[in-house]
Amino acid sequence: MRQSWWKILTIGLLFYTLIAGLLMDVPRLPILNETIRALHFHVTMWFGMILMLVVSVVYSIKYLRSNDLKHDDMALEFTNSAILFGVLGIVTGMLWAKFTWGDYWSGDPKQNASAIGLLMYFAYLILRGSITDPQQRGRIGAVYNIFAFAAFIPLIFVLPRLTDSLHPGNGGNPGFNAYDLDSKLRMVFYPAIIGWTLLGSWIATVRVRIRRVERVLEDRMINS
Amino acid sequence: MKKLVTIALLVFSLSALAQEKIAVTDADYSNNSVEMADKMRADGKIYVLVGVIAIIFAGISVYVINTDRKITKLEKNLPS
Repeated sequence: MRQSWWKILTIGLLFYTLIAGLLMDVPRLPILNETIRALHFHVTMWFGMILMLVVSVVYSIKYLRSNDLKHDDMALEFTNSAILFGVLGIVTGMLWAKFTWGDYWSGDPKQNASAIGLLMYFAYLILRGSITDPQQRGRIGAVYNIFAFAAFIPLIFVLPRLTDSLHPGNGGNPGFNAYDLDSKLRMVFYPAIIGWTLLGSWIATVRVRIRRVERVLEDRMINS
Repeated sequence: MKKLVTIALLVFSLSALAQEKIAVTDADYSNNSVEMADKMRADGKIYVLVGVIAIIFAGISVYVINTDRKITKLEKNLPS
């Protein structure tokens, strides 16, 4: 395994998340009951998604400055991992909502906004798939990616807070709700964010390396 | 100095704002009025579930590690 220390850290953190997240004492709160533990699994998906999208935007900018396709691969694969996390986040959120808010989809502002956000990123993949020239695909993709991120952040962090939302920390309330700030929950929550984000990054880097090998093979086919 | 005082006041007022939220207290950990998975724990079955999930994650980890190893091997065999 290349650069294995952080991969071992990933597995360690995630084992801790799963075991401590399921077994440690949690606040006994009405309606939430044991589902409060989904904090370590559902909420962390979105944190991981955002962090990986930041990485993707950085590589998109790097690509625009250098025209080096290596950076474009990183941008694409980190977005792919982020989309995977986003889809898992929205599906786990729907399941959680069914048993706490009463319905899979209540048209909650944050639910709607994250669905729009995901559609924007699906459009990114379709846009890329429709262009055959790698440099052109990279440039248009990078510009779209930067704008998509700039729209995504207000869409899920700002707009839902301007109105009433079922999500904690919304409806004019700027910070996290007390549920997230409870010190015992934080002991698992923060390592969980790091662990899940690292897992997504690991998958992304493996896929980037596959792309690079493919590119070398393609170049050799053309040259021979 | 004025800046420091302003920052200090700001920090205090921000934490005062945070106090207005529904805080989780020790009573929330010890109350028995809210139903939790106590029975699952009493029967010891929760550990079975944790075991099942841990095994699944172990399987996924092994799979990702193997994929990583495979691509490393490919990269090594590829003179560039």
